[in-house]
Amino acid sequence: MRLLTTLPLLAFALPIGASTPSVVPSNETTTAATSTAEMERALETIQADKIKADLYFIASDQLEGRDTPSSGLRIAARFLRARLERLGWQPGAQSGFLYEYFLQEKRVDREKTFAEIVGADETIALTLGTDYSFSSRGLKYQERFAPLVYCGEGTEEDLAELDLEGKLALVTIPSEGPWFRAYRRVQKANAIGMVWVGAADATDEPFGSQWEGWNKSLDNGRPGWPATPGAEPGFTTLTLANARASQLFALAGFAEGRPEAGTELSVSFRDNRSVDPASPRIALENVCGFWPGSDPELKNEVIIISAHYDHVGIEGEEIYNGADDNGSGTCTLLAVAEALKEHGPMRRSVMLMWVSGEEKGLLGSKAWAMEPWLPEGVKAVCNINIDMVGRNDPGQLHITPTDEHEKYNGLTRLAESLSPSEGFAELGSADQYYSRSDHAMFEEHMGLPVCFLFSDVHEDYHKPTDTPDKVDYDKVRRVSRLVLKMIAGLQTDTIDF
Amino acid sequence: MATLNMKLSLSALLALGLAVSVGLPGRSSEAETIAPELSTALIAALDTIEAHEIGADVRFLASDELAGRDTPGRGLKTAARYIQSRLERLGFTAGAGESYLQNFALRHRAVDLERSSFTVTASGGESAKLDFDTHYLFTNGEVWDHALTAGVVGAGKGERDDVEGLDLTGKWALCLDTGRHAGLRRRLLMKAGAVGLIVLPNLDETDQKRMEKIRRSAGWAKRGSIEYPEEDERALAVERPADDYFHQVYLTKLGVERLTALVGDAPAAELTEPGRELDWSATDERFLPGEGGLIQVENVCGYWPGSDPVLTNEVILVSAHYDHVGTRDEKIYNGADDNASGTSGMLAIAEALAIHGPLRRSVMLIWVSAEEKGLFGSQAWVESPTLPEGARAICNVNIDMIGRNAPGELYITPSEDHRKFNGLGKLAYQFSSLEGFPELGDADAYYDRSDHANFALLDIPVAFLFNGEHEDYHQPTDTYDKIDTDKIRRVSRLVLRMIAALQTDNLDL
Repeated sequence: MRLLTTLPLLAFALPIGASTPSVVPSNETTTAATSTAEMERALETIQADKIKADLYFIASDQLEGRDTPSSGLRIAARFLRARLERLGWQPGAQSGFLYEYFLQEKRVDREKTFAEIVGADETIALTLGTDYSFSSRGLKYQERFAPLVYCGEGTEEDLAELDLEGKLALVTIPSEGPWFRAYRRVQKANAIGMVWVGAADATDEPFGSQWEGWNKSLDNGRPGWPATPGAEPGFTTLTLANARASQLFALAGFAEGRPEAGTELSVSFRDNRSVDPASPRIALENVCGFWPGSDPELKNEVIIISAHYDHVGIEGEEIYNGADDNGSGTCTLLAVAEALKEHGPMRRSVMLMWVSGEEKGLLGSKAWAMEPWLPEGVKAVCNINIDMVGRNDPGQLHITPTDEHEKYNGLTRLAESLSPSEGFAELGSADQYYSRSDHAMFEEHMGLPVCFLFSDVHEDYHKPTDTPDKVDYDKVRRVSRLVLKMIAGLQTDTIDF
Repeated sequence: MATLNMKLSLSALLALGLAVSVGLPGRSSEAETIAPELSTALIAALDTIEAHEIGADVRFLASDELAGRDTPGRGLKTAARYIQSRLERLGFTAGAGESYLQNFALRHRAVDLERSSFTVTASGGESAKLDFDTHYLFTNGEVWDHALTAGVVGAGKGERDDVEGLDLTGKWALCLDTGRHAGLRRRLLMKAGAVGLIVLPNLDETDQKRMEKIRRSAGWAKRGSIEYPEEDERALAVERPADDYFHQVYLTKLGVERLTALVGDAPAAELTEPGRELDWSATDERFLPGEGGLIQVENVCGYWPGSDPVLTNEVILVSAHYDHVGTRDEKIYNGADDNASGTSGMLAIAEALAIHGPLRRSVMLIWVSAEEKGLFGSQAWVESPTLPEGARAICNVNIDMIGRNAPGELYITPSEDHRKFNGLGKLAYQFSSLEGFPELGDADAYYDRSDHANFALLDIPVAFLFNGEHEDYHQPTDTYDKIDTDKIRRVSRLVLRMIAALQTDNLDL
């Protein structure tokens, strides 16, 4: 599960703690869609001990936290490939089991990257890293000069009826609640970008704990889509140091106290960014296995089951093993692969896809969804995505999109009808995580009905302590069985999504 | 398969290779090749051994990502983890006490680049820290945990005329290189009391070939060698008398630049003028990695307990080494045949045993490491066998390189002609034709070159199965794509048949 960009950890612990499972249990029967002998045998192959053995490999120190890119990640990919080969799966990519895509480890070109506060008579030049900074994520070429509109703390009230088209939103980091709500509202109000500032009386620098990390990765490079000069950069954000923010407001005539939300300031802002052209290009891999269907027609419809196999690597001496995130989902798919092998073909085809680059911004799923490879004549019909399913209460499992989400579809209904048989009496809502794992890419770029199974974050989330000894293997077993039952439930002549 | 002892000459090696190839095809067995009646369980077990599964394992183990599985190395550890994971999946019992991994100590005699340095300190106190390889070199034979600080005295070219009459007690000698008679120079200087030697390159006279040799030796020092420590050395750094260490340091051109930047640019002839006391001192700190170079390495052991209350204490050892020779000059030695083939064959045997269920006797599967360094993994196991209380090893089947050459080509040692020929070998001859090896060649020339040689030290009969050398032996070209996975399958089946035949009440080995 991807960490929200620039998200201070405390800020997002709040909404999670506040969320409670809210889905009403389904009244429909909870019998599995099929209960043939094959299915029983297939379900029997899914065993906690085997999942455990796999996960102890995937989350071993030798794989060094499976960062994108890293040799640990490549070893994990080869481990997965070896299993697919052993099980007799068909390659799911054009030239084997590995779907290759290319990224660039983008570093900032500091000479050509600068910002300015431009008033009527005065221009204040800003230096990257000390006067302002931004996350290295999604670094692009950009030449931006636009007027600033002060948007308060970016609350709904602050932004009411504002159209920020062509403007940069200047936003004070909210004193309460998560900042990313403000971020989304500003985006919705059509701003071309935003400038964060701390509160007028702030003593700490805004997002201060992150500046060092941003700086480091701006210089060391961070994998992302290859950047081309001249391309439309889209919505970007930056953060101003407190001293510079005061200067900005003073230049705009608000030396004492900040203006009302919605005030267009008399100063503009220049935000130019450039990518070091020597930033290296790198090849990444998704691991894809194909299990052809048996029905002459329906075999051309493929159900995509996905889990990311990357994690966040090493920091200093500490290895982030990522046992739950997402060794658990990775091994769920391995269990499903073995079960399907035992079962034999279903009517529709199944693609198992282990994607990389998730922690760096859903890169692997996006790459595939934008340029999918499927055997000739085959089209994808839906995606079930598994990310972090091995922790918290044995009966706790969350799903998105729920019926309260605009993307709600038949997959969720199917999951809800089957989950009680695997010890998940009720599925909680993971709607707030809808955009944070790979299913979002399959929906966004391919328009597929998707669903996401997730057993919530925990105290070890994105910590070196997310280790395999803490994983509930019986829970992963039951999630794997649920996924297999869902696949079996998707074999009717027509599927009602 | 380990390389021959370096002391053997190349011609001996060639002769050996010749003998082996001439020895082909192997003599036909006099033993009957009648298929014994197989139990359903054994048939099912034999059938689980599949070429494509073996191929998947070989491909993983021989992938570039495992970097040639050098001892020690992350690739080797990853391979161990891979094997362990399979044993766990198959429900094998941990074969080394609580763990699947038997840890043992080796000494990695290499320069720890992080900690080692050569530092020159001028009279004013300022100093220059030089880096091994870039600024200075020393040879492979002088990789120690030892530090030396001393003043520096010129000693000319270190020739007899230069050194005679000099008192170098407790000092570094500073010499201009001649490229000749390094041994004599060392003896003369030691006799004059010097504790070390700093050699300035003489760009005119130094024999470039010899400098290359030193550079190569320094390269070895950097990569290091692996030794099997004596029992009393395993916990401690080696303590040797101080006068065992005579530090010889060769400055490179870049090193001389650093030196002159610190102490000024004087002609080398002037600096090395015999008897001239220089006003700077030098410190040479040499470190092995970790604690005196001691490293922990792993054998992977999976135990398959027997069902017979008595015979369960008799253990059949099956072994294959899972290490190879690593990466050199940026070329990865994948070791697909040597010995990802045997490693994967044993994984297939493990799965077959899991399908079969317990036999009457127990089986211990041992994947050993550091074979390529000198059969150290098997040596460690033999010194501390990881058998349950009351159990004893009764024989060893070792497989090393079983995936290349002609499909029907397989060798064994000890063969019928070897003085150690035994009942285990008889079984191999008996069953080999059933698996497509009509005749077994003799690999007696290789008797000392793989791990069975160590297991034989337990006074148990051993058998070694091997497909013969090939052009890719110990080359970066020993790759996955050249592997005959069906051949590995058949060798694995052969071993399983041998194990299954070792279940009678009494064994005549």
